[in-house]
Amino acid sequence: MDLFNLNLAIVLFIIGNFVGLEYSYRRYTTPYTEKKIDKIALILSVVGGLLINTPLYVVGCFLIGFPLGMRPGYGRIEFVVGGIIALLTYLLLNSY
Amino acid sequence: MDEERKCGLYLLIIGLLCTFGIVMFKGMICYLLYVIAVPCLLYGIGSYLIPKTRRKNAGRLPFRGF
Amino acid sequence: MDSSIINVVNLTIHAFLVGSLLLGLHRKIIARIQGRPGPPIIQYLLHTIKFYVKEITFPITAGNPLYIFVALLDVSVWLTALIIAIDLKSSLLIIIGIYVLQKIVEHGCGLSSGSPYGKIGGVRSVFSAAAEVPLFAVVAAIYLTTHSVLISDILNYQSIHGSLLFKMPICAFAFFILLVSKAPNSPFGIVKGKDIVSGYMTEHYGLLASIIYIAEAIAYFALLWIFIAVFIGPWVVSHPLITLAVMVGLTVILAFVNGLTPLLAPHHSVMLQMTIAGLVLCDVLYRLIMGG
Repeated sequence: MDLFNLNLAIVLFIIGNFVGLEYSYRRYTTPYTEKKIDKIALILSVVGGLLINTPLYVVGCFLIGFPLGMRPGYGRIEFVVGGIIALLTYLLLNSY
Repeated sequence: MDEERKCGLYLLIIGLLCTFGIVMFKGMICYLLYVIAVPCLLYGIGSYLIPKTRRKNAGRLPFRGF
Repeated sequence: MDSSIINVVNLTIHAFLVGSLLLGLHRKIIARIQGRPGPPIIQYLLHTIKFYVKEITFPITAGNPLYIFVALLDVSVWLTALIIAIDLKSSLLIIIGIYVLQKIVEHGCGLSSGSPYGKIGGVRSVFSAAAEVPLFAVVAAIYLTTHSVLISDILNYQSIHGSLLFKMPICAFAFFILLVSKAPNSPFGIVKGKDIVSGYMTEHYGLLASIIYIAEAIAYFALLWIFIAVFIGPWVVSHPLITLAVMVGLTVILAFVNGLTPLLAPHHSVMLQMTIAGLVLCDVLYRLIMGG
């Protein structure tokens, strides 16, 4: 992967973070929650985790940035699930 | 024109000249011009994006005995 | 136009974005250590963008051309480091020269504004130059081992003989201390200690603060890259994705070090850094006596 494509992925990751931040501030008003999962963020995170190992990794970066960028105290479990799926997919694809 | 924008104008001119130089020349001088051009353009463009100051006495900062 | 300049532009954007994200991650991890949720990791970038469109006025006590030019010089200095280290893979000695220039920037930045806090920050930055003494000793030890100070030669040496981290652990530790002292909230961060507000940056606000933030993001990236290239080896820096992963790992370690240590008093900080320099000098002497 050359530097330009990596830059593109990072920029989209940052935009994903920003969209997630904006979304979660509009949706939630309480500053901190535990054991509460946002369904949209979870779906986006899982899709991002699957896409990040395909040629569409730029979109994957955008989607996986979404739960990570959510406001403090939100989106933690969603991001971890997405990250684990990304890691498992990577290991599955590279084991053959 | 206030002082911040005047500085910004000078730096913008320097930055654009350096950019022109990067396009024209080849070799190591490009790196030198690039290093000069980037901060000049950063300040030059930024000084036209920032709003005009709304302070009564510009430059007299609080907590400094003014 | 030279095609190499396009690479440099690419590299600059990469360094700025990655440096900003890593500094944001650093802040987030420190917050988690302290039991707070912490800001999102793009917070550093958001600060940079926010300050870029905020008004500035020149303080009436400011020494004016210097007041702007130190901020611009900061960007120039670290762009030069980026080009010399990463693009040209040139000499480590020039990098030290650049690091010394950075001290001049901090000093000028503190003194030009005329603020008392800035002045103390500038003066402290001069005697925190003790952080560079280990750097000189490190370069001497590297020269004795690899017989070159060019980064490209050091990378070649490592591809044949294995990574320098295990051959010269004391030098790697001394360079790591330099990384620690450059990272925010560090125990050696006497220049920006919270007792003097923001140190030399106290009266560089708005647009100028944003420009200094950009320079610091690039500086963080460049220093991490040099550490990885000089001590870990060419197999990491040959691929940008692996470099990124190692940088994230180093940032986590730095955040733990900085989150769990108190801010040292200025004289303690200098004393500790001089002790480390003495340790590395002992290492250099040992290598000289044993013949490399």
